[in-house]
Amino acid sequence: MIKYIMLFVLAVVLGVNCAFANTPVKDEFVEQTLAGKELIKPEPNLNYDYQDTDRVMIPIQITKKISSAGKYGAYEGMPLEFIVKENVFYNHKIVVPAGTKIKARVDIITGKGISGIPGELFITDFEIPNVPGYQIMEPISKRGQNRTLWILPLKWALTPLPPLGSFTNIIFGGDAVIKPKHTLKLYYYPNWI
Amino acid sequence: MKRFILILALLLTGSMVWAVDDATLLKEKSCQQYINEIGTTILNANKIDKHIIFTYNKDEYKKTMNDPTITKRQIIFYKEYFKYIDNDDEMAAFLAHQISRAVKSFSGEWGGFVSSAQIKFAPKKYEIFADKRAVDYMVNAGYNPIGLITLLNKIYPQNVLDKLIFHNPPTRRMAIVYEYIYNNYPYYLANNPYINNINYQNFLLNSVANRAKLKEKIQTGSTKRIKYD
Repeated sequence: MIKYIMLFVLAVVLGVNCAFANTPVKDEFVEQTLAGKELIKPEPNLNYDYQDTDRVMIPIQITKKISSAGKYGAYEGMPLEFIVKENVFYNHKIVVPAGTKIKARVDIITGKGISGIPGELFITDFEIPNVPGYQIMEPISKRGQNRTLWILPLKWALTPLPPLGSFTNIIFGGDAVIKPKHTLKLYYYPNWI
Repeated sequence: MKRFILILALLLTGSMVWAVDDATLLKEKSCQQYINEIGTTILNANKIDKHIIFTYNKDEYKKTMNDPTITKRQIIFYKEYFKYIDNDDEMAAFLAHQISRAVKSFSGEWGGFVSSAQIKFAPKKYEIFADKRAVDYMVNAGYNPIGLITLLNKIYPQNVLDKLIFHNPPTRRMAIVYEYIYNNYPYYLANNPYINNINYQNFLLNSVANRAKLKEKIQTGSTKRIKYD
């Protein structure tokens, strides 16, 4: 009889433990904010074929000035608009006419840092009429002034005179700025699948 | 006769040593192939036109000044890392993070020397950048980016001096990755196969305060960067 009682108690204890182990913490934030939204699974790029070497450059200009910080500071996810600067030809045919509007977005922003490290803007998700996204080499990036180029030699030169070498650390790099007059290069591979 | 038996014994011992070596070699080769397959899939799926290699190393990891990921563009996977890798997503997460660092080291002046130096000067900044880029790489290569969160939750300790030293606290990295996935690939959070994974559950538990900050940001429509703990 005692044997059966012990078995029963053991079963109850184990059962309770298992029940608790299978009670997950819910991600209520996701349930509240994403529930009911139609979300599409991103398509992976696994059917590639990179045999073809043809490449076409698309010169683009932004419509509004942005920077990695400050008054014109962009934010990650910010929608952008570009305009194609001149006609883009492939096999003697216009594939993207001048003046075409292109949508894109700011993907990642890295702020400027010590030792002359520049800020950087990464732009992605270019939507060009009649050009599939997988044929575009993205993201493209724009850096601010890279002061590390002269800070590094200066730091090395001043190292024998401590602590002067360390003072160069406090010099920051420049913010990344994209103005409407800047032309960015976007590369399009018309035969990639 | 004695001499013959002795030679035979020696020969047999030799072949046993070879047999052991072959088994070890085959095991290492299969590890190398596994790493190559996932790493190269990430490179190809993301159109990364830089030469980066993956090397399996059975030796113990030793911290050195030299970081081959950014100096040689050679990503080394030490045997002991396998302790933390439970599936392909987590392996892809590890490699994708390293690939993004390697790709960064190609950019800029002097053949990437300056960029490599900058990654050394400001590891915290580029650690976050590499995490975000790793998410993109994983998604493009068909892996679930939640694997990066579960890996970070297991592999990095929360150092007391994280605010002073050269790495971000893993809780901050996980929160930033979570926000990046939420903004760019919400499908993976809404359809999350990791929801019952104990490491993901542990992340949900230790990120309650950080996720509350993100919730407030979303509800107020703010575009400011959140200071995660």
